[in-house]
Amino acid sequence: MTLFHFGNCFALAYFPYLIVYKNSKLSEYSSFWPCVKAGGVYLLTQLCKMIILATFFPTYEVPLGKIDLHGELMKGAVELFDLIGLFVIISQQIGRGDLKILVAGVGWAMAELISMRLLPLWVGARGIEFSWKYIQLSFEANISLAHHIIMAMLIWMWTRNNIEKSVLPLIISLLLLCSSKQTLLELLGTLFHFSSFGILSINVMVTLLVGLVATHLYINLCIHDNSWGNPKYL
Amino acid sequence: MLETLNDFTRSLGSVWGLFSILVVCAPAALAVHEFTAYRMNQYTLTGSDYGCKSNMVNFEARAVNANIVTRRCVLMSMGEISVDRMKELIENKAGSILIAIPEDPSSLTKDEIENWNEVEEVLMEQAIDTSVYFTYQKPELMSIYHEVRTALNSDHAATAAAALGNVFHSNGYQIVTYGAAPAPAKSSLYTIQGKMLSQGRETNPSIAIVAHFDSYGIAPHLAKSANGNGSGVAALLEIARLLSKLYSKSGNTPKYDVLFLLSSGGKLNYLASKTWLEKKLSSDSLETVLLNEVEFVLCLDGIGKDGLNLHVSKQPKEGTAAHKMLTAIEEAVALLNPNISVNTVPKKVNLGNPLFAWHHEIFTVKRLSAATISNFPAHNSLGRLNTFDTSVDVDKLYTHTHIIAEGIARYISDLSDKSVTILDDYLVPNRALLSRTVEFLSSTQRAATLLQRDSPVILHLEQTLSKYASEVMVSELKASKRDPEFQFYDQSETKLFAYNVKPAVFDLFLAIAVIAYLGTVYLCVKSIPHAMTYLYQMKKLKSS
Repeated sequence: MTLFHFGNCFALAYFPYLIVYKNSKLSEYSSFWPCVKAGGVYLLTQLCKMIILATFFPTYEVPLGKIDLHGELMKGAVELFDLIGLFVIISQQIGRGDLKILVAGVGWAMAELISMRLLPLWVGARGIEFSWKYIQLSFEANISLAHHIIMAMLIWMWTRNNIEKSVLPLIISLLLLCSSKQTLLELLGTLFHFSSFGILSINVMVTLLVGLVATHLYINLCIHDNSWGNPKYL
Repeated sequence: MLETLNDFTRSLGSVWGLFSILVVCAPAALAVHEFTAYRMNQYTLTGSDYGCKSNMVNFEARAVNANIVTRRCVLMSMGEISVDRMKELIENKAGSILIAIPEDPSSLTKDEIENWNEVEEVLMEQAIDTSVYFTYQKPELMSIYHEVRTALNSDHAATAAAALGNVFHSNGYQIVTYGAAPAPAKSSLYTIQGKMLSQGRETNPSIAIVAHFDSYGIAPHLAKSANGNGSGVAALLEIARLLSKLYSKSGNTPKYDVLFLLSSGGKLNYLASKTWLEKKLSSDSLETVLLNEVEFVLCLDGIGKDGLNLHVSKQPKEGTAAHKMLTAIEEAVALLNPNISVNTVPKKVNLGNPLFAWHHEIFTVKRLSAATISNFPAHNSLGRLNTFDTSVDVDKLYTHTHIIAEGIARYISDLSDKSVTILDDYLVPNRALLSRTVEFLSSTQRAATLLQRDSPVILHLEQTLSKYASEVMVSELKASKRDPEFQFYDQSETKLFAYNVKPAVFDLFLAIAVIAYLGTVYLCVKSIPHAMTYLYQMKKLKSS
């Protein structure tokens, strides 16, 4: 397609990030560098994940259309490192809870966007061949932003010591769902031959659902934690 | 310790490997369709350009009945081709024309082939700027072809909404080739000659048997030319085999030497034969002597189908060599197969036309007595230049070869007895050999524009002729650098890529959709704090 098409995809992928940054406490507290640092942690985490995958988990030649369940499980397990990375960012960050969540979520998602999506977009969306996949890729970047903010929110709640013990299992299971979401979606594609648009819409619905539950828990926590006051976090 | 370090570096290497593979392969694994396509002939002959001058393709695919074809690549199938349509496309400056031809030519009807012949001749009459390619009807290509056709039909959508839906739903294709512009290629024509000398006397008269062996079609790679002139070459080799047996028979003293000449450039004004002849006539070698003694030149051009015609420049008169040959062949027909009639077709050499009509004319203008035997009733019969000339009638070829061989044998042995054949029961053409030769020739690349000295066809012909004749020689005629009489061009075969594209207006709609979406996102992000506060207050009220 043309540069115009690339521009469309780029706008679709990046502008929501800009909107979120500009219209939240992030710009108010000039949290640009903390976000960059969060991105650095993201890159380090990915490197660790790759090293671990390459060292400990051998890859098998998998025939097309079949899945290597063992390998997929391993990959899913490695995804848990993301949680550790996000935890590190949140615990290192000084400041209010809502700001911590935003810095970790937006910084992380931004780093992922730049490292994983920019190059395929630049090469693919400008190429002659048209494919819906670049528009999907750009839209996925938006889901990813919400996804990482929700994940950071869940981790932050987990680290609070005044949280009710009864909701901890719920938080942990949501975190597990979040970190294995990508693997599960890929499995849906290979096992049940979902179309890419189908997977995308499932992705949106799952993220929305987890987001609603997480927000609910967050508000409950704010009510519980009277000293903190206004939960206006964005 | 060292091992762990090694392991670590290795794993780092694999990490980067993985990373780079991810980065490089992700965009490379596109569903691009790729086809091998054959460009229409392009050559320069006696100062004029013929065929398709361009090889450029970087156009959007259109069906043949599209409203606009200018700077588009028109996809056509065999059935849609007609002379008027091709002319119209070229006049409307179509960027390129891609014609899908069936892989199995036997599925074509007679009408389709006749129609095609006409188109072929009209297209090759002059030079055209539109690049014309041919490709086989592969399922992948046909699916693109059908999509392009239906996309055209949906231009006339009933409602605006349907039209809008089509913009998003329909697929366009960009057809691209990355080949460099066609450049002059190494251009050579070849002649293969061999002699069969009669024993005893030194200065015998001789006759020459001539056939051109190259193929010709609208695209050099597609040309099979089984009948014209695979059949002639097969017959010539068979005649050489029979005569060599006749000559080696003890007690036989044929009074003639025989010269065999196979040349390329048969449809390129018989340039190889012409130049070869001019060279022989001007030099003082032994061949000159032999040639000066040539009584008659017999050219074979397409004898694998129904009909037997002797093309001459003027009606042979009693006492001439041509008349003698005609009589000999008529006698042979009477003896072998009386159902066949040989027609003599006189046609004056048109000196005003730089292109010769028949092979024998180049000998006639040098004052040699010559004739061409062909199943075509006239030089401009349709089908002489035919890409789908893929088969011969082996029975007909056998009969014709037998008749011609017997005729030549009668000519050279001056037999007056009209009731006995010279080629007896053991000296008959080999049907299997004939059909194998034709098969080999039609399945081997042998367009004049693609031939090299070491091409299989030339090597094979040289080797086969050496078995029967002596002094077999291959001579190469190179196009002169300064003022070439002929010039070939490369890029006759290329890879075409079909990329899936959307109409330009698609991106416009996409941009509008993206802007609307971003606006929604902006409103959502703006309203989230309010929503949160509202929820917070609601819950607090409830809990307190």
